Amino acid sequence: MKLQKVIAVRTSKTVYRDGDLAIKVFDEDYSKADVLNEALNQARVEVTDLPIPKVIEVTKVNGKWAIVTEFIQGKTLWRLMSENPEKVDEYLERFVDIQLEIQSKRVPMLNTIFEKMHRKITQSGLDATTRYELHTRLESMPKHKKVCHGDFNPSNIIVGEDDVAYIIDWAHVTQGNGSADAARTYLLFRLEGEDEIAEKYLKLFCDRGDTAKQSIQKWLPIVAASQLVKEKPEQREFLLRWTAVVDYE
Amino acid sequence: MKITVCIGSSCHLKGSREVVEELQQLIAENDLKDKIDLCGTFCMGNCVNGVNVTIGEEIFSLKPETTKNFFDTQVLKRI
Ligand SMILES: Nc1ncnc2c1ncn2[C@@H]1O[C@H](COP(=O)(O)OP(=O)(O)O)[C@@H](O)[C@H]1O
Ligand code: FES
Ligand SMILES: [Mg+2]
Repeated sequence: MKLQKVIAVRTSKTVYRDGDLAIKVFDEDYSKADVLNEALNQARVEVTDLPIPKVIEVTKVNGKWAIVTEFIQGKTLWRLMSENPEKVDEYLERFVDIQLEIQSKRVPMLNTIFEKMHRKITQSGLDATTRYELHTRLESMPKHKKVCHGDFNPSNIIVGEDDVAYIIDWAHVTQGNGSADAARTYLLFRLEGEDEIAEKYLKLFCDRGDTAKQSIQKWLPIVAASQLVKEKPEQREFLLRWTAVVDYE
Repeated sequence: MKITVCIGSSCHLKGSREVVEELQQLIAENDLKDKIDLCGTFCMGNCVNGVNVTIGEEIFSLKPETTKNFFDTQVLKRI
């Protein structure tokens, strides 16, 4: 495997291309369990008929863990949106339809979003009173079995040359209430400062999925608390404001 | 702090891969993973000066062999 052509860069990850393979290489101190879990999650959702690049192998290169998948020739939806701002509405509609399509699938082996959120609230570093409020709120939420991508944002969709929209980056997939996944996507846009897109997204998700806005807003304090676990200093103040359990309705 | 490296084709030919790998290593060695957000971008439209790297709005022209110096003089002082 040749790691010559870099196609994406993160502080502790690099994605390379070698012919028809994409090779996602993780830093030495990346948890082995996280890497293997990401590959396992992807393998689990691959069996749905969703367009997902297949995992070819999990291996080590130069002492680093790597996940090798099929390479998809195309552009991410994020790139298309920045190159064609006049088409943002159209892309957003497509984006929402893909998320709803994912949520129509069932993969019984996946972890539940309930347990994941429960754990993250515990780990959030918030005070006991706020955690209690958030845990209580979480328990009151309807429990579904929809596939929730967990990091659904336009950089995780690649529109292939065949115009098929491939979905990548399944590290955080769970099953549960689709409104939680929508709340997370909304939060991701807001954290990027894309407030206008965030609102458009929310409206589209509600309209096309026949979902009440309130049922998504109810998840916002919970998904904000879960994001606190990542300990990004520049997000902290913003997230703390959102975890203060107030009724947005 | 956000550092962006151009990984467009021209910068690729001039060694953006080496620049990326070296920056990742320096960030890790200096324990700055929480403070620095490293990312890649497509052609910045400034190919003649590649490899192009930005810190916020400021643009720098790097080579693999000047990366360490860039890190020591430009990155560390902004932390
Ligand atoms: N199979 C693939 N085919 C083509 N490009 C890919 C593939 N996997 C990843 N990429 C590119 O690498 C980027 C980062 O990969 P991703 O799996 O989303 O990692 P991260 O978890 O860091 O977001 C994607 O946004 C995409 O541009
Ligand atoms: S390829 Fe880097 S600026 Fe054009
Ligand atoms: Mg991604």
